[in-house]
Amino acid sequence: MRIQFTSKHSFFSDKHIFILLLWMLYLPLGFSQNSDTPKEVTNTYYFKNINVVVKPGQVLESHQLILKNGLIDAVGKNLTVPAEAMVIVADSLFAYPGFIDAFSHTGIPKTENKDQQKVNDPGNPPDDIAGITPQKSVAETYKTADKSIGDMRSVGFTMSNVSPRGLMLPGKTSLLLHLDEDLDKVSFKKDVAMTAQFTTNRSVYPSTVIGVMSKFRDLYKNSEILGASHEKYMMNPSGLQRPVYKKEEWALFPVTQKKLPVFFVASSSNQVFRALELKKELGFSMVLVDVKQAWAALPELKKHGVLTALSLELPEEIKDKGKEESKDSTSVKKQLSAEEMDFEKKKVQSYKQHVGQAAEFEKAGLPFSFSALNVKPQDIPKNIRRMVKEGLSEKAALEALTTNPATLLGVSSSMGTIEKGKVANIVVTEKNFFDDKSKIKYVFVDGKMFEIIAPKSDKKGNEEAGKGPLSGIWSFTVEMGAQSQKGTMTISGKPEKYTISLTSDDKPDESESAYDIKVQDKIVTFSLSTDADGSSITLDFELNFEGNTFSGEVSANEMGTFPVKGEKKSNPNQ
Amino acid sequence: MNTRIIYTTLLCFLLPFIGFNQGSILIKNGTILTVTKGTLQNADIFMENGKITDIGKNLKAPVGTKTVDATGMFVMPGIIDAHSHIAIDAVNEATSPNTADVNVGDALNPLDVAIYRALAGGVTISHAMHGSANAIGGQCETIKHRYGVVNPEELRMVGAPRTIKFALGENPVRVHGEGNKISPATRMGVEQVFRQAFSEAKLYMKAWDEYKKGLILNSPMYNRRLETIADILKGNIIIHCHSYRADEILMLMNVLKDFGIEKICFQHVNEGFKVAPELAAFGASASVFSDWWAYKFEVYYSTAYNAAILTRNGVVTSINSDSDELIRHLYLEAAKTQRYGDLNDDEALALITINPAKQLGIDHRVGSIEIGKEGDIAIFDKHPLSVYTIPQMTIVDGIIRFDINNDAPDMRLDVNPEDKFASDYLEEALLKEDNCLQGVSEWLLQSDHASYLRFIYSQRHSH
Amino acid sequence: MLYKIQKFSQVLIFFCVFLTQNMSAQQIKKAVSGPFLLKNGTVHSVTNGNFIADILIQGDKIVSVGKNIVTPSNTQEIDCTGKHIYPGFIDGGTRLGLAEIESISVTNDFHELGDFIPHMKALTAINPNSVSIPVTRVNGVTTVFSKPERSTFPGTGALIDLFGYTPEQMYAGAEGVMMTFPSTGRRGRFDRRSDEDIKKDSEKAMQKINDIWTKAKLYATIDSALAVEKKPKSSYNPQMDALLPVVRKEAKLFIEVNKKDDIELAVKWVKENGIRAVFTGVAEGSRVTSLLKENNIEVITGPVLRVPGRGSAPFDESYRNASEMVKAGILVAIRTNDAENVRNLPFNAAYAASFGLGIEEALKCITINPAKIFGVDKTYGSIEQGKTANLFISNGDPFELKTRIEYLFIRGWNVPMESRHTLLYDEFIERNPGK
Repeated sequence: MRIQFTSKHSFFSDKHIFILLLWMLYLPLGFSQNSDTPKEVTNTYYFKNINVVVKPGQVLESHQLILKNGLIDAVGKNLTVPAEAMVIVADSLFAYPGFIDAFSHTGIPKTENKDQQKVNDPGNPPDDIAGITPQKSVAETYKTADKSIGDMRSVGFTMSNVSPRGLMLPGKTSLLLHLDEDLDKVSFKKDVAMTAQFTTNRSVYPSTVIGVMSKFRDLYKNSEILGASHEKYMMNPSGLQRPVYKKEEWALFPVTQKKLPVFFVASSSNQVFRALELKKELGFSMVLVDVKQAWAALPELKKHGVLTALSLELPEEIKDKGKEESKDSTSVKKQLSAEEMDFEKKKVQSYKQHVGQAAEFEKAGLPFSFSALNVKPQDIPKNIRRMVKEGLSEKAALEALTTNPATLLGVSSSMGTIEKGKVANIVVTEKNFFDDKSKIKYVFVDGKMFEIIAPKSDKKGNEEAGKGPLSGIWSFTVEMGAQSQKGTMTISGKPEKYTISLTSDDKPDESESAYDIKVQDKIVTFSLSTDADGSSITLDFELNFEGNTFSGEVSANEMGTFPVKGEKKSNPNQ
Repeated sequence: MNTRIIYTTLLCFLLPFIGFNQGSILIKNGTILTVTKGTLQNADIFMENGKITDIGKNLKAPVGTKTVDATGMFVMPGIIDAHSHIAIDAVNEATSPNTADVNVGDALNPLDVAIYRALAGGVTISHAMHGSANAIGGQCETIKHRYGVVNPEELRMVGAPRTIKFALGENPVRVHGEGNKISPATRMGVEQVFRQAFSEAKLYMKAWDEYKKGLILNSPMYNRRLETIADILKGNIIIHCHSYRADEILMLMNVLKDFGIEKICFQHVNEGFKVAPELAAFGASASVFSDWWAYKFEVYYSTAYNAAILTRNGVVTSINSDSDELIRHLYLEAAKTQRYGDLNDDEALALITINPAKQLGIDHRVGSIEIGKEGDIAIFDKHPLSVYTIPQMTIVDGIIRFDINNDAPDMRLDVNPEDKFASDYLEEALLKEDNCLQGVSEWLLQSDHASYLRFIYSQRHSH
Repeated sequence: MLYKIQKFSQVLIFFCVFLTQNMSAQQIKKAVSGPFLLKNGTVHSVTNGNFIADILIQGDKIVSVGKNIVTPSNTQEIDCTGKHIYPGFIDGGTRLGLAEIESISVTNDFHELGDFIPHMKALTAINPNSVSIPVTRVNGVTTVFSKPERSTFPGTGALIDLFGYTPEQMYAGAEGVMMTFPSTGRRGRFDRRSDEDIKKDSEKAMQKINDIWTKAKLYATIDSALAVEKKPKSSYNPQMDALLPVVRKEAKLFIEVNKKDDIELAVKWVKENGIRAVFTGVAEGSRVTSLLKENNIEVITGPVLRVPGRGSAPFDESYRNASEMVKAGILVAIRTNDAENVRNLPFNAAYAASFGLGIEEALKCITINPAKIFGVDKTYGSIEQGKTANLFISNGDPFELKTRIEYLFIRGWNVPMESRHTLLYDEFIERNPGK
């Protein structure tokens, strides 16, 4: 797609930028407490005959459970129904302790790509541009009722250990309850951990993993020196120069004192070992998060007492080739070369290692939690079940969702189990959570009830016809100040496998296909690459569909973000 | 093939346990090219727990020891590459003319299949280097090719001296002067980067020294960059300097003289032959390409006879790869000195064994076949300096890491379960675009230097 | 821009200064013409086996191979007893003469702007004084195919002998239109395009070359019709004129294609369009040998000394590639695809020899096979009476590094065994003053 902004007055026109998409009306979905919705009638709930999973491995079948004033009030047999209670007849339902996500950015929306500040000396950039902001917390970027919060809640998570987004040292994490309320109300615990990662701003120091490894040590040592100088000065300032409290180094001081653990994002095997190396060398306390390939590091992790939050993201399921072939008997049987056979075998082996990682941890006796960083929330239940099929026990899986993160995050006295006096964070499911057909019916966060409504079934009809509800031809308009750019967007296929292509009215013969298409309810995000003067520009779209119209925005790297809207021109059949 | 896969899988699981990286093995009845002590016909080598413990005829090993029949084969020390960029995830921290603080040893990638391919060329040790974007680049790592280990730590050659990459001439000048408009933009500017760094490091050492003696009360701040430079001044780090032209080579030797630094190996050093007597007098060594030249202006006046002239002048010389390709046949590159300069067999083999070992400060441990040295061995079917030779087996610390008779088509350790077979092919252009300026292009893209970027991409060699 | 010009003029000045100094310091050795009688050497004829014989070179030809040859009175005799005589090696694909210093774009002439420019002629831009030429020939490489590259139709390559003062003197009688077949699949794991996009891009790329070919065929039809009616051409279309011989099957099209999937597509394409094709590069040819053989595709492959294209490929894939294709009965030549280091051609062949090809076949891949592919096997590629006198005398197997090449003949000229590399050696092996 090449949308050329033809106006001579457009301040982009000299750059020949070809851009797309949307403006998103961020409608808080459903649960916000504005005056349009009635107030809650009660905060007491009585579950009749529910199977209470008190903690992993302990189930009380057909018991009564009472939640009151945000706390678990009672679990037992033959409890009286309090007058103010809402009674939920729960025969055959299961109650689990609310799931706890040990590390993610839930509630922190992705930041728009701002114009990057010019740095004159890339070897000596300001700390915030270099991604060194350990003094920050989630406060600066938390978005009340962000869509990600509802998404996590709908799969049973009642709380996340939330880190600000950013680069090497983005800031400190907070435990946030998954309520659609402002930060003060959702904050359960502040300054839980310091986030560290190997991500960099690739144009300034530190731009590479070797830069990060070095800068981390440098900051750490200087933080120690600052801390020592501070203590010395507090004891007796006479004759001493006043310490300079550089905010980044000062923020790291609790880490050097082992009062604040580092949660290190270490997805790959190499990252796991690199983070371990820093820990061994400097001695801070560390938890590895978003871990995807640590099976070979198990002995080392054990030796150094490093705990982990394993990634809930798993590789795409590998389909059984043999089955496929037998189904489609007309297809010519492809002869695989020795190399290709070897390749496929290794793939399967690697796949099993990834999915079986949690089971290996269990076998090694190393407790772990889960991290929802980078995973699509709707995939989480399915992924946990895949881990179970690859050898993880249900008990260990549940521990990783409840008691282990509660202990890891220092909240086990108030969370992680269904026991009297603990916070009323509960997940109520139809059938055992590990059953493929299990559905989450209610999630209680801090005693507040959220009914989880399964995605509407009207898509079923469409799906059977091989078409999603958004399939069809849409017009779109990108607003760029006084100028606008029009074109056509074609969506086809099923919701999980939409294909999207865009054509600009200026160049109706050229169309570009979208990639990284993600659909969450009515929100569709995707990316698109297009050429501008020989260099490639990536456009990121986020569109919110409402009936036959959509709105949203498109961001084009440093060029900025522009609103987009459009409407349906025709259905696929027409 | 199946057994090979199982073996590899086992390696993945077992090797993290300490002690698995040394083995015992007996090599029987080969022609042994010791490099330092002549050639032994029909002789045996016994390696025990990773070390060579005996060399001679009709050696006996304890029952159960793995035995390799090398009848008709040539056995030489494992080949050592004094300049490569394999097995690391980052090559250039190209953001500043001085990045002495970074260390590519922090980015080791034991899963890189290039390690296996180097083993298939008889190479047991390589010097994983920082790139040449900066006058003072990062620290480098001497690694052993223990392919199969997953923990990066196990790739390190523990105890090998620390080394650091310096770079002169076109590369740092282009990246910083032309690219960022930050000095150095000339060879004059490059000299001052060194003088400034060494002088500041001296002041830094002095400040810490005074603090430790209690002469000043406030603690100085820690500076990892200056710490590293100070370690060079103390003689704890060997400099490996990317260089081409005679004048810049002389310049750096003059700077080092002024600061009392002695340990230096010039890398590439295409015009080293012009100043061979000066290099010899300084005690500098040289690690060169066998025949690469003319890919940029500063190597236009080169000769493939460089290694021979340097050797004849008494300069300790090695031949390196700086390439995932050349590292696969360094024995061929060494043999080229027989066409270009008539080196004899021992001289030619020394270029890829004992000499690079000297340059890396590990010649007391590896680089020749001697009792007490480490069990790093390469076995060839013909004399390794014959163009027709094929490496048969490569042994690191007494463990077979490559065996041509036990070689599966797919030897990767790092397999993305979502990869598709059809998309595994890398265009040649991408294969070539690595090496010394690796990482620079991407970084410049971010810095909005698109035209410069295209220029860099258009280069076939970026050394 | 101004800055660049300044820099470039500095470079030029530096060149000039250097050259003058050199000329005054050195005694210039020049090539000598015959007749020459090479007596009693082992002749590796390539086409008729190995035997001991005399060879008479007169003018630019081998006039006689045998015993007791009657020689003209002014014949210079070279005793070749115990020596070996080989035909000059031919590199099937290089940038020699077109690329001088690859990082300095103004010294490179192998890539013109435009994607459809088959009329760009390499022979025009060959620099007979490229410093790399002597460096190359002293290793026995006497003839190379130098070619433009990168665009879809980057131009027309030329076969040249590595001795002469003008491109015309060097021209070895063959030219070939080059094509880079679109790379249709994912370009490796860093290629982040969606499967959909990749498919679309491939379709677009194929569409483009199909369009070109449809037009080229039409152009040829019209051109023939005009010729019959003796009418002049109606427009100036040098691109299409350059393609005429290929469309009319009078000439081969040299198609650069490497990846298995691309090779399969390319075979289909040439078959559909009835093109006489030579595939170049063909890095994954060993995966599709029967397909190539069945469709009579000729191959110029190389470099042999390269890393396999796939992480999952066996380490020796590139070493074995030529051998697998030759075994399948395909006509194969080996190339370096290099510029300044075309001198490594014999070592590329040697690696193929060790990994399954054998020395005899490997030798053919850099002598008679490329001569056949370029259609010059009547005059090049072997030591036979009547052929161009491109040959060298060595003291052993020229693939081996220890072997010395002692004499070199190109077009009957005895060319000095001298290059920048030997001259610098001579000057600096004993520097004066020394320390």
